[in-house]
Amino acid sequence: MSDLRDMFFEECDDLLEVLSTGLDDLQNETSDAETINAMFRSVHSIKGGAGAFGLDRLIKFAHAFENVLDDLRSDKIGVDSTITALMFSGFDHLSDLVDAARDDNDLPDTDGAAVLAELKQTTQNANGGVGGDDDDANEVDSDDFEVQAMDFSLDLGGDDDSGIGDLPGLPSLGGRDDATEGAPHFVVKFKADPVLYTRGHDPALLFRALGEMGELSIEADRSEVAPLESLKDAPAAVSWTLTLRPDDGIDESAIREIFEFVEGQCTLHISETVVEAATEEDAAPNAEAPAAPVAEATPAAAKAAPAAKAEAKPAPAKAAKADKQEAKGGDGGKKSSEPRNNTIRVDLNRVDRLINLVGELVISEAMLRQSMNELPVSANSAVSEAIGQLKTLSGVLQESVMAIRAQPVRGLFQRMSRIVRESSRQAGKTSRLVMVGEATEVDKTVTERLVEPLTHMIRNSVDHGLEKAEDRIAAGKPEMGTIKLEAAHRSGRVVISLSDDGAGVNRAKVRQKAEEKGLIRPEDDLTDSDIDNLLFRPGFSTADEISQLSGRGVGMDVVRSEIQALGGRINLQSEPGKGTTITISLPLTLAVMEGMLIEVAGESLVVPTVALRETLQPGQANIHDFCDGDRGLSVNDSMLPIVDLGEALGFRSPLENFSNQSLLLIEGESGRRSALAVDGIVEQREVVIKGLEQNYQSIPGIAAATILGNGKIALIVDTDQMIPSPGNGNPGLRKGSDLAEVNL
Amino acid sequence: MSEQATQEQTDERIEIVSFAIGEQAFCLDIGHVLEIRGWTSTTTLPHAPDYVVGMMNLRGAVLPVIDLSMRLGLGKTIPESRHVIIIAHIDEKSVGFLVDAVSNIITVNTDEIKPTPEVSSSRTAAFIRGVYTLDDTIVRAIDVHQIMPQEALSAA
Repeated sequence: MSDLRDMFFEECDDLLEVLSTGLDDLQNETSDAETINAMFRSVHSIKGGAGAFGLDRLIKFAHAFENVLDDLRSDKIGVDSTITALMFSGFDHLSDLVDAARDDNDLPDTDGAAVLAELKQTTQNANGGVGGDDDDANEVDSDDFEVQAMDFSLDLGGDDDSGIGDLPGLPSLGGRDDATEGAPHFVVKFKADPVLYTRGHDPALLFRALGEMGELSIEADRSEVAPLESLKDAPAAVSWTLTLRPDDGIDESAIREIFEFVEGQCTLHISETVVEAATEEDAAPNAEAPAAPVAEATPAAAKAAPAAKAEAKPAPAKAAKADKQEAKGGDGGKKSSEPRNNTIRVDLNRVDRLINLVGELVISEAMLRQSMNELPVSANSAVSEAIGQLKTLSGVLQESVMAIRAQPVRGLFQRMSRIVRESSRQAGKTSRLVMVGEATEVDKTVTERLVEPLTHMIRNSVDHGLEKAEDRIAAGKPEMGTIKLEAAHRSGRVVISLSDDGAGVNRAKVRQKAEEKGLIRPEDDLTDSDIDNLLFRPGFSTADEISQLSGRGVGMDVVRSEIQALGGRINLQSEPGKGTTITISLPLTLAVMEGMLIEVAGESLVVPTVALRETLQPGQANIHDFCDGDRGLSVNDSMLPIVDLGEALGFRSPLENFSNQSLLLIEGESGRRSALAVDGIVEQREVVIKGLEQNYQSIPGIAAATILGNGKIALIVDTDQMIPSPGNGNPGLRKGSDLAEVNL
Repeated sequence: MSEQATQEQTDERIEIVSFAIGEQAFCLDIGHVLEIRGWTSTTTLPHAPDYVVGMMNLRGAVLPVIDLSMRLGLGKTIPESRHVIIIAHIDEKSVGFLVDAVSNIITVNTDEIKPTPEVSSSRTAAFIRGVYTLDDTIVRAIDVHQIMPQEALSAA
């Protein structure tokens, strides 16, 4: 069962993501009918799966949630800010419940009680006018529907209209009037061996799974059951006859699959009977249908609520029926109507092995190409053509394989939207999260390891960045603060920025605090940006009052070190009164990159092409000397600093004469530019990025390494660290000299 | 040296790889050693400590090569083809140790190790875990965790 359980929780994550996306649309008023349908299906599927695992609390809550969504869907209640807020709280609690269930924890009973009550109240209010019975039905559902689930299965009887009168759960399933006539029926005879029960299986679960495949009627044969007085503890005497009118694409093997778990522990006989001439109407193949037999195993429980309303109003019954089918499409077995969810789950290790192998392949291919070039020009065009093709193919292959590991940051961002809500509530502020570029794909490891730092940054933004409501109004800003989370690919790196429209960094206060703490001396001359970045110094916290959110000693320095551990950089920019932007720039590890192969002091190096703007051979005339050996290059009326790469990396002493040097004009993330002086430019090529941190450590001025066609390693220059910041020297280079001193 | 292996003792027996740097003999626990290779050229690293020779390519993996002689304060090695690189896996990292020659693989008892003499050199104290006496030779056991390049504290 544990595999199924894992699968359920993995699905829950996906479903919660769908729900979260829907909520965002709702909030941003970009929702349509399908949005709410999708949300409904998500909650519904969670509830269904929860039923299979007996997670009562989750079921109960999901049920109440689902009811409200259903009312929304049927326009019984309109979308307004109260409802949206309720939905968000509901979503948060639902996530908590899922997490708690996953970890086998119990949340305190009080958790979510208010939300649950509010959800129930909303449903009641919405349905108050329809009829008194409706309320009752809902109440009964939420308390007792586990029991009803079985009732439903036993009573259905395969007839579309039977049982409606006494059971509210039926119309949703029974309404398949168009496709049922003449469709094949499966008759399943099932008798459990005693061992099935001793191994902890439950026929009811199997039947529920079967019920998911179509209309099911069940008859129990109790003739062999001994009279009560002589009953032994072995309950294996009951046998069942199940008649299934299958949904589209269900075949015998799908049914057998359900009973796979109990193979050898029961007597099973499956036969197919066609009641009338088959119309072939439902012959569309659906190979994935049996993929999630348990994830949605409580059809009656799931459907009881909408069905209650269906009784009162025929129209929603149709909707519920349609949803029934869509819900099946949405979980596990994805139908073609939802192609974007067409996914399989693969062990990450397998993907990593594949990526490594393809990386090796690309290197071998480059080696082959290089040896070919060294051969005498025999001009065997067939070979060179084949090799060219190989190059293209291996390039495409590598790209595709990399894409497997890459994930959109959407999931990460959506988790953050909850953090914004919670921290706003705790801080007594109102704020909203705006997400930009959620589709930007980042390596999975990176997204996972960004959760903690981003959480902390967001809490800081809400707590310290945004002003209190009255201050905002006084400053002429909207009362609701805006936190913006943005992701983009830039300069061969992933840049994630978090900005708020708050008051900005209070530099006087930061400076004062830093002086008090002895981080800087009063006479130190610091630029605004220097002061802003003091926030990243260990042991720095400016909150006057220690709040619940931040200021507990874990500061931005922890965030910075976590980002650095990912090979990233973090930078803070602030404008007083306008807000603060924190930018995280991360490398695209494991990726392929376009680079310019250059030579400096006998070493081969690679400069990322994305940062490269221009290459020139300027001659001495355009080079001007300044203090301390600094040099500038005049290009198009502007003056750029020249960085001698050989000197910056400590490969040689400073050059006197640049006349033989080639200059590469590079532009950093900040938009600043500089000219890199190198000995020679070899060629532009694709390189496979190999991290240096894995076996060594990060090196100032170097982003990563790569392996050239001849098997030699070439270092990839970190162009951003090669751009001096005004008056501040070059952080990368300074860091380098520190490094040399630190070591023995 | 091999007669050491024949001594029957109850203590834990381990295998060590002994190697030479200059006139001195050193050893590593064989559990750390992945393979032994001849010298291949490396790529110089900027701002690296003087004992880091550079990065080498081991079948697609990029790993640093450490001049053990330099690391131990025995002078810089000018690498040539007769030199040997011991590829070791220590603390989740792969690293190459540049040494003069690999001598032998020896089985020793863990209790045969004798403490490092209390000399004044901090390197000796930090990098030498103890010594084995094998025949007439003193084999110095390297403390592999200390010998790894230490992560530079990132200066703010």
